[in-house]
Amino acid sequence: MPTWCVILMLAIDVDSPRVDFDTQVMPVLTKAGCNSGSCHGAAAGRGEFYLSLYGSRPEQDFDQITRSLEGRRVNHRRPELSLLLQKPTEQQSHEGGTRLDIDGAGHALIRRWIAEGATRIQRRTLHHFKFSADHPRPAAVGALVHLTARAAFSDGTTEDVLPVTVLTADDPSAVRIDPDGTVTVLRPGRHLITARYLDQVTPLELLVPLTGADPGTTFSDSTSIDANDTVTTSPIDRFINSRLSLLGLKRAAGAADATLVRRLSLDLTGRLPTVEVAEHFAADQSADRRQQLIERLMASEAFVDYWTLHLAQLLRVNGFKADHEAVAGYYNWLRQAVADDRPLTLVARDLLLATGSVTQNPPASFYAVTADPRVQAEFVSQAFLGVRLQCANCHDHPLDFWTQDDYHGLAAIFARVKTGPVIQVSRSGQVIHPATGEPAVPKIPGAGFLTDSEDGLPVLAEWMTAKTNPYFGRAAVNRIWKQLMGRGLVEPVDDLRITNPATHPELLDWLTAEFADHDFRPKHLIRLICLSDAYARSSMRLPGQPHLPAWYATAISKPLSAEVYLDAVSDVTGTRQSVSPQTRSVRAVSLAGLTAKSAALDLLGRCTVGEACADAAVTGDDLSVQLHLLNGALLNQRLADPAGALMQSLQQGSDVADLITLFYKKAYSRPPAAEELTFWKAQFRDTDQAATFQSVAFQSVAQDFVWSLLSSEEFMENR
Amino acid sequence: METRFCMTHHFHQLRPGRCDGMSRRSVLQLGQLAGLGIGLPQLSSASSVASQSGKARNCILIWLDGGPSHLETFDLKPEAPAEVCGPLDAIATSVPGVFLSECLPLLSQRMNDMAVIRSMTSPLGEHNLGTHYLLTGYRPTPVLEYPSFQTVANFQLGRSESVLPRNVAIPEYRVGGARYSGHGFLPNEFGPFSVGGDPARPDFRVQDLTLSEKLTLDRVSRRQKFAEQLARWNANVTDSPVADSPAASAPAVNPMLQRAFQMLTSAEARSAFQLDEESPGTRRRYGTRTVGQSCLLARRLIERGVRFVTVNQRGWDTHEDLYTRLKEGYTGAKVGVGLIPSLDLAVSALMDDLKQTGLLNETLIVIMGEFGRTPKINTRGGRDHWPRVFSVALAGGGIPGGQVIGASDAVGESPADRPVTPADLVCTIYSLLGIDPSSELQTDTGRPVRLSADDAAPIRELLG
Repeated sequence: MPTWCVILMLAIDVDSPRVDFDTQVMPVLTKAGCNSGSCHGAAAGRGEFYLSLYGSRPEQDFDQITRSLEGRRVNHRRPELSLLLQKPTEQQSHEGGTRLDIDGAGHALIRRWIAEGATRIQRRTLHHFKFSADHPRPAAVGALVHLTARAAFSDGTTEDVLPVTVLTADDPSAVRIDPDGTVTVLRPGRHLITARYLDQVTPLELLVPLTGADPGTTFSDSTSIDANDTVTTSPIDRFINSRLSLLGLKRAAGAADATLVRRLSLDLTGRLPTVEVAEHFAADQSADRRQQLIERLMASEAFVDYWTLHLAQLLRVNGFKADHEAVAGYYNWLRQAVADDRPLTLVARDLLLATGSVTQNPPASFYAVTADPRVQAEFVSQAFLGVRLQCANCHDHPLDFWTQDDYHGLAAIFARVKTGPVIQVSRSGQVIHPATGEPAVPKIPGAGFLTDSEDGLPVLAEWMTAKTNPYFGRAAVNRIWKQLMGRGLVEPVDDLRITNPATHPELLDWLTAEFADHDFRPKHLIRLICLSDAYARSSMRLPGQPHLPAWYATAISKPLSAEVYLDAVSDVTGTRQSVSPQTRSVRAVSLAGLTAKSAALDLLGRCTVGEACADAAVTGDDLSVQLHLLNGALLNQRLADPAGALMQSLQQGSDVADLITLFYKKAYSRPPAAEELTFWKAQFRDTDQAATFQSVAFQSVAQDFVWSLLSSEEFMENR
Repeated sequence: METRFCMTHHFHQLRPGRCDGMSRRSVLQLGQLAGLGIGLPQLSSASSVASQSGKARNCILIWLDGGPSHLETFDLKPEAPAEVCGPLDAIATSVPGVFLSECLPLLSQRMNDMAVIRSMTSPLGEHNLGTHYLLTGYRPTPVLEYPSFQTVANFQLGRSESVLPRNVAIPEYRVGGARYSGHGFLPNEFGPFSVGGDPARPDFRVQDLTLSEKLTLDRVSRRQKFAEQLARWNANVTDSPVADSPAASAPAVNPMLQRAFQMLTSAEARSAFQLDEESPGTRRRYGTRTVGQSCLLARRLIERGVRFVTVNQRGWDTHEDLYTRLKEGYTGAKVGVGLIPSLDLAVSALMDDLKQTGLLNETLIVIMGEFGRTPKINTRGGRDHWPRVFSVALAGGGIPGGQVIGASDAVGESPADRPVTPADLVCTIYSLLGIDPSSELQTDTGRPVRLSADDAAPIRELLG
């Protein structure tokens, strides 16, 4: 028997009741891969044989198998000659190769089903599917884990369905899964195995310690993160530390004062701390100085600007070519919501229900992103629910429970929104459901269909912003967490799904509940996170420990975004150059509506029009960016600006050490180390012994000195 | 027929006939490389992986962005009904029995140096997804972005000491819906450098490559010295003092900044991009369109040691009015200047010049896009996305020319013979470049990833 044959072992009892197509035949087809996306499960089918993806539509598949092709797929008189069996066993040529073992249980079962008349008796339905492992926390590489998959049916029976459950490892190089459900751990870390049985997809997590030591005792009891901080261990840290302990990872000590004040300032306001703020923080002896700093930063205009930028990027304010007045109005409306710390549920509700002229009612611009109701459905689910619904356009989502009805039902709600300069909701407007060819019935995703008399949008807004909605709060928490911590608890942040569980599920649950209990106001959440030990750790890698950002053993160093970098450069150089020819604004983070042109921002890599993007960072490993920083106007013009901080200092100053120290503090929020100061002083001496501050030679060294700070990694990162 | 189609990934390990060009499995340690590229301890050993077996040193990818119609380029169906056959005629080539598009008269004469695969097949009919598959040999997953075959080949050579980047995109690497970065999980420094300007424009230059009048060469080298000093301090602070990371021996400064310094101070680097150093006759021979001048620039770069070039010809997403867009260029043109005639001029001139200098034999040219187009012309006179069968053309790099591999069915709808997946194609390209497709890379989380997918098999007809 060829080794690559699929061997299906099913216990078949000759006295057992008649074969049930839905719960017995379908899993065999799925396990054999017949209905996968690259085979007959593709929207276009294969070889004129069309199956629903992973068997999501048994009634259609039954029809395909028994009725289409003039019924030639089943042979009632000689079941073994049925095409349904001849093809996957390659007794007749089959492009897809051998999928079923001719002596296997799967073959026997399908054969018996045909012999019994190939009918769809619908004897039972699936009630419950349980997928588990005997040792989800194996001690080390090489350990064996045994999986079980059991199904409970409506007729009261339960079965071991492991042989017909499709088992997939997220990372096949980390675990080997044998056909009998034995898993061999090949690499340490956290691994996911997903089981697919009928319409159920269930992930299972295996955690294998990364160090050989006994988990639980390996992490050091590092000193308190901030000696002056009386913050007791927050629940956040309990969750984070418990995972670190399970994985046998040590955690870093707290970041230096200069690092922490720079981190908080950049994270909360998108700006560098001023020299005074940084010095004050370092000198402050009060027990709650971190808390005080957080409150001051959150109360600033810069906080409002910066978090409005995040919100505007999420809502793709840059994505449409509306008139500037409407864009500005929309931006200001969002800005006010941030300034008021408005519950995100209320913001979402206002946006979803906004109608009228986009110039008179700013939130109505929410509907200006697209005129296509399907795109709108994808946009809304991605932005508010953190869910990628796209898959369900053409078929039920293969890795989640979203169905085609959900997708087109949501689109049907938006089909009644008439877009343009005036947003109106009408009684007409529809989308065609591709599976039926009929207008899709409006539907709340994952919930019920709407009746004819119901207005879709209010019901949708109600459902989406309810405290019990399983997605809205989690999606927002996950995005804010990523903003501050550098990595989402779920990655990517817009891909919350059953098969993509959080790295810290309990933490995400706890934060989501906390967020809901505080009316979905962002500031409470931001405060909680920023006060945790995990937030304030050093980002320096730990000796001898693998660097795995997902577990927050060290803080994650975040590259500055294009906007933040540009503003930081303006701050250090003390220049007030406009960042866009269309506006007099000198601050990139507050470019109203983001439609303003800015060559500098484009080159640095800001979000481009029409895409949702949260990760636009200045990449120091991009050659064109480096060429521009070195040779282009962006830095050189600001360094040479006669009104700028550098040239002004040279006009006034007299001490080289002061000059060096000043720009170190401006750029890095710290004074130079002794070694650094010595090096730089020597560079200035080398230029010209007799040089004064005003000489061209001295000025060019000074410019090159500040240039090197501004293009250094320490400056381009929030570490 | 081998079992190729119906592969769900759980069965990969059970399949015979994998793309194991060689048995040696080499794991390249990425470890420290993840960030801005400080310290590449194991990288120097990487170059030894490239074996001597492949004939090709360089690879020029002519990317037909948007998905070229196979039925108007390399796989015409003159016998098919009118709505399939389309507006273009088939013409004979220098190889008896092989026909190409009437808009490819020059390439037709060079068919004996080319190979056309007419049975490419993929399940992915969306731009970003198809592009990822064609350029990496892997179907996209939400977890991991894979590196393009050119980035991988570049990475295998180890860190470059040359002034010019070894992997260049002209005019820019905005491919297939623009979501694909090119470098995937490998460091950006091995990914494509986008030239950033249109070589067909008279004022074409690489942005910021001409030394600003405010700077001098002395100041550039002073900045380099300063940057190196800051990078050294930074490495001392950020690198863990683990023995396997000898920060002192590694180049401290960000390699892209290093290259910026080198390029800015090098007359040769600037000259490489100076198309006006070519005679007007040569420039005309490549055609005046972007793709023509891009191919001319590609030739100049390859001659100067650049190893991997992507020429990105945009506009092939012909959902409507394909006759004008593919052939005429503008309505009523007397001489067609559309996408196909422009491509014909550009690639034939490129092949001729490389052949003359002997470079063609060591330079693989791959002409492809992310999928084909629907067999039936739609109501807007265009064709929509069709990945189930499409064509790819190759030349140079030591491949046996004059052959057609595989076939589509009578209406260009499905492979009729010898289906070839994008994974097979990428696997073949690695083999042609002398790279073991079974060797492994590591992601920054330590996950080993084979260069070529498990279910890939090389196209033996091309390996010669």
